[in-house]
Amino acid sequence: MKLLLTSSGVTNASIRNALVELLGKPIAECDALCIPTGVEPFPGGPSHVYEFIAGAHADRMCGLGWRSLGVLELTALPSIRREHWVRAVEEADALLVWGGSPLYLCYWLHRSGLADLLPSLDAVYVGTSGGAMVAAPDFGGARYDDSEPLTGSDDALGLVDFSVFPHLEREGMPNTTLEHVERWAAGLSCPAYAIDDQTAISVVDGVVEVVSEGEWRLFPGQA
Amino acid sequence: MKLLLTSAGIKNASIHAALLELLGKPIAECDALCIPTGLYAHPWAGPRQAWRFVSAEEPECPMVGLGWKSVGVLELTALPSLPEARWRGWIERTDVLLCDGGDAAYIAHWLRASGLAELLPTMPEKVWVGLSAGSMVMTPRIGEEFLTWESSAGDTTLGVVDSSIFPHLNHPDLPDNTLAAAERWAAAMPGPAYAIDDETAFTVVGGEVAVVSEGEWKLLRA
Repeated sequence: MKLLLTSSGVTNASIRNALVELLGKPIAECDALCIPTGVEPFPGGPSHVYEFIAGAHADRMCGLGWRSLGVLELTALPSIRREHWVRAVEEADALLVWGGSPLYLCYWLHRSGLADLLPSLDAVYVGTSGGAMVAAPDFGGARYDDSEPLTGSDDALGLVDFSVFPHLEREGMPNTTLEHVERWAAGLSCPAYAIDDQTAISVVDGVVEVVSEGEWRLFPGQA
Repeated sequence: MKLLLTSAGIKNASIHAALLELLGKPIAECDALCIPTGLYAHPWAGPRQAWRFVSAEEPECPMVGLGWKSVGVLELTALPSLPEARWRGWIERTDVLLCDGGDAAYIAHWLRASGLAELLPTMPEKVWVGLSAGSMVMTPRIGEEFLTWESSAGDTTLGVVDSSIFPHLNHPDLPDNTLAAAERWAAAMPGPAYAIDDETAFTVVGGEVAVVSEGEWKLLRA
């Protein structure tokens, strides 16, 4: 599985070029599935889900010009037959994983069985914010946000061997200052990238590349 | 809760006028939540249909794209893993729920499991707009013919109304949806049973059922 881990989606030409390179063909020839689940526990959950799929934020992920799109709702998967969704996942060229609560998203990635399938897929995993954070071995503490921790743990998917802190120095988000991020990184067991909304990280066969038209920082791991 | 039970959405001026009357104000002043959940469980539907529904890319089935003040996506399967006070607030603040089709037994299961099936009847001003299975979920039973998901409740749905509905009558893409098939289906239904085409809907207000149609419908069993 190839990964493109972003802070705020495909926000500039450099990130878009990196995505096309990972896909190996134009976006208009690719089928994508979008995963809104992470944002469902937020106070404005239904509105956030809509904005991701079809509204104001669609341009950064779902509205890039895919040949086809589908909604893969993780909370539904355990109660439907596997053949209804596994083939769609296996045939997808890209999985567009939106953010929200990394804890809630990670819980449902495991619970749905999708986490077990991910390493064997050819698809490109495009994660945004919380969707990028869950690819790490851990996301730096179960108290990243105020949603109910379902797992009681910050163990994540471990698809990559570093952590990601999104929205570095974003205006209006006081807990994204460099000072705050340094404290967060100090508690991690692995290296960490703090990336702003104009930055993404591509990972192919373990080779990590930062794609940026903005700011980012690498923090070495403690162990 | 007031109901507008359609076969294929707000297909014509009569159904549109009925919707406005139930809402009591213009569509542009109403907040809507759309429910794609039933699509995930039906073998003819799935992720792509869910995207088309939410994105209003279904000109044949007008629902989400009518010009609502705001639209949100309500995933019934997510509700049991969310704090109840949070999602109850979403329901309280919305004017209308737009429930797409798929498998009616699956929708019924998650309406019950979430607690929404008990909550909605206590909210007299809320409007439920159903499409196909999103309408059938409000009836007492849907019949084995329409059951694709294995439910512990069988084909028993919520019974908010006492009539059963056979949708998409004589639809050109659904050769099994004939009047003869509807009559066979109606024989197994517990109470009144209607067959309706895609130009027909029902309104239900305070237990009063009215047919709104620019097409074909038939009361198969009184």
